[in-house]
Amino acid sequence: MSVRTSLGLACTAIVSVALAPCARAQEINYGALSAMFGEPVTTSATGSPQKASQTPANLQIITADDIRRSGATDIPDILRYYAGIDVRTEGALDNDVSIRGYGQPYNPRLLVLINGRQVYLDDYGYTAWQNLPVQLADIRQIEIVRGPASALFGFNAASGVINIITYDPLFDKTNVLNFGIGTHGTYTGSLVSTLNEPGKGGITVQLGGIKTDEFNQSAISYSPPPDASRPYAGNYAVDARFKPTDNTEVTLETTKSVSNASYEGSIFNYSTQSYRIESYKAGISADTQLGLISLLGYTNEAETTYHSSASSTPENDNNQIYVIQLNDLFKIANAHAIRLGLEYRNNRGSGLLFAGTLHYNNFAADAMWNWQISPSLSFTAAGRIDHLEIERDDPLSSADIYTPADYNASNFTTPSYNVGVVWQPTANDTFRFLTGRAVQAPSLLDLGFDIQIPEGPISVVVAGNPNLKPSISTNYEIDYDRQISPIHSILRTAIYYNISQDFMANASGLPGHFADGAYQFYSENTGNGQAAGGEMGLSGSNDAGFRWNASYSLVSVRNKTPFGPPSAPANFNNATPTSAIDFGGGYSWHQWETDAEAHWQSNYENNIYSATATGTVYTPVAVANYITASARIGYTVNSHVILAVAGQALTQANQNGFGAPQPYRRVLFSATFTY
Amino acid sequence: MTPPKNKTVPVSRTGRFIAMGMAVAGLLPLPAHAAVSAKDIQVVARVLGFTTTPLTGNVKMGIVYDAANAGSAADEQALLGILGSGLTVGALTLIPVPITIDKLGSTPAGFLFLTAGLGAEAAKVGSQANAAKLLCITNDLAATQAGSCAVTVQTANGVQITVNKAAAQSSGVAFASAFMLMITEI
Repeated sequence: MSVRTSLGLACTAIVSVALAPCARAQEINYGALSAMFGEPVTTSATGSPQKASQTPANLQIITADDIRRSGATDIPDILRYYAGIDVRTEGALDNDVSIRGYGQPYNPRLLVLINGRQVYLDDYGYTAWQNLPVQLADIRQIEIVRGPASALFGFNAASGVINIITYDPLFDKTNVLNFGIGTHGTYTGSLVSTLNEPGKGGITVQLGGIKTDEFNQSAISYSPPPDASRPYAGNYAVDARFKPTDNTEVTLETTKSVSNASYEGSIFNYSTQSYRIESYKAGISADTQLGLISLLGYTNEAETTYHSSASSTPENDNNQIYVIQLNDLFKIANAHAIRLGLEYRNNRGSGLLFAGTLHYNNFAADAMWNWQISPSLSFTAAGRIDHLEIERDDPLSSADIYTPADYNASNFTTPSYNVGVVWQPTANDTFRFLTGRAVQAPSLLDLGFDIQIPEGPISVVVAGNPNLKPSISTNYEIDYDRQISPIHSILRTAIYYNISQDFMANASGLPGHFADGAYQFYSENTGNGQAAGGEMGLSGSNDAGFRWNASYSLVSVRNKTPFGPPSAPANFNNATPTSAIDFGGGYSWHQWETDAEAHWQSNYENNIYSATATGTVYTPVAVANYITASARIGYTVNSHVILAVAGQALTQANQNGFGAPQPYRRVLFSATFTY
Repeated sequence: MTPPKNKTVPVSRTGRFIAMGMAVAGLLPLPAHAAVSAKDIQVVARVLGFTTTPLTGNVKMGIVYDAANAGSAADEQALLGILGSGLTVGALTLIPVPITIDKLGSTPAGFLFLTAGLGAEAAKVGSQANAAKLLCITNDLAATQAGSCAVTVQTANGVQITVNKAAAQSSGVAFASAFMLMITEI
């Protein structure tokens, strides 16, 4: 039975169950719940709705107001000014985001989702931020989870999660048109339009895009194609939600994004990449006598074409993922919330880089128990077990030491967990004691890359490795938050210790060896690491219209790898700045709104990639400490029109080191029409 | 969207300062109920949206009070001040309808709001809520613990919602699962 057929049958079965008459109503209405409790509500810690202040996770929520005031044109530029987050901007549309160390191009350790749908790409294991099919005006909140969270989200929530929650067309009406024009030939535009009958059904259509100048790439060993000087990205999404009965809600969504821009790859190499990513999602939730049952199925199809200097012909790969999730969330004995879940995912890579098709099936079961011991004390335990089986039928390169039989014999089973105690001894004080174990799965290309290149009488084989072990991230953490009412602020602190085992690197970034008449390069597990650190931040606002924030982040990474220099992808010791300070403020006065944010970070080490006849060479480049800043001034003309001017990278700091492209200062004028 | 400014019953600056100091020092036991505030009513209105048949439009809020009870009467007056001729919150507008406790059942209402401090008398409201299949909401936790009222809303130290499930069932009211997962159930 095909994957698509299985998906269809499963959906039909669950729909039949869910449509059975039931006495209750209602799914999770973020807007109404947040309005009622006077603070953001999230499901990103346990899968159950919770007040953000009471979650058993280090969770921070960026609100729609925060997003508007940032003046940013993309999500990484918003995240840059939050504690514990490191953003590397390597191209005009190229950003990589990491949490708590291990910064790297194509960061595989951070899971990113939109409304619970993974937008992380499994081919290389990273997030193509420029291709997220969401307009900033349609985002209700961005949820940042610092620390492992695989027990709820599954693979790749190794260092944290970014969960983007949009407005719900079933309840919210979002009609916004935005245009922007800026320096460096920057043009932006977005449209979000909702048609709904609140509580019964609604549909939101959104589309948008950006075109701008690429960073100056003259210093890097890369000859971009002519059209790479004007990168662009565009996307659309259609999100429909309706209630066929009082107790059920149906979600249907489709998205598409395209882009063409320069990117720094996982081995620090630059290439121009063209993306086409589509997704289809269907879900149904029902409030039944057995709890809040939800079934979600989705598929992501990503096609990436790489134009690099190393290859005269474009290379491409395709990644399709099919996911089915079934969850039941219910409460028993007044104080116990339980969530039970099953998940199946089929993940496949194909195209030139795979020399055929490789796929794996993953079966997972998970459970969460949240016990509200008293009004001030709660205990949460969540666990998940994944079983992954690899399949490959297409033949491999002749010189590859692995065979399809090796792949078909490969599988692993691994658990993950999150345990947390939240203690609120007073209305102002919150302590969290957290531990978690998360799993980073090998990317499809870590497993199944397969290229054989003839070089005269010998060959060069660059290949995956079916025997890779998943990387495990284990975290221990204590958080303390305090509301300081006299100054209208909240103090948030965290200290943690993280152990990461069995990092992975793909073959093209590792040393090779000569055997059987060929130079051979294979993906490998590349060692272990420890990270210790913490964050401390103060933020607040008052009725006079002032708002402020300041935070300090510390992370010390020590990792050991069997691959000595110059194997840069396996070395994280100086890959992320040890210290960072974020600070900013804003003021609203009548129709004016002014905000500014700054980010200082200590030095770190970047790498410059170059390909030579004998292999890849990495040149370490020290990046001195720097400060970058952004600012926005907005003027509300009337209830329908806001005019704004915003600037990004205002200091024009050298963020990537000598020899690497640098962000330019950009000023953008924008007009926003709400109708 | 910025929520409306909350109105609260006036408390002297000195009194607030002393109470704040004592609360910080952990010396001040939390009262069973505080004077009703505009924030309480905002939350009450939101709670009505999570019943199985959410109330919308103009909803008569039956304010049950005892004129002979100073605390209860003060709450009733505070509520009339907060609600005015009608307070719109989200999809509904709350219209105040004062009901003295000895005339329960004589005035139609969409739901009942039980003022605080009625003690044993509150049981009458529970009986009326059961008979008329009306949701009863209060800011008096003791009334909900006693089963006289289905829901308590308190906002003095963050939003706390307590639901007596048995009392809710007796009055024919059920809530969405998502709501029940976020409140304290007794």
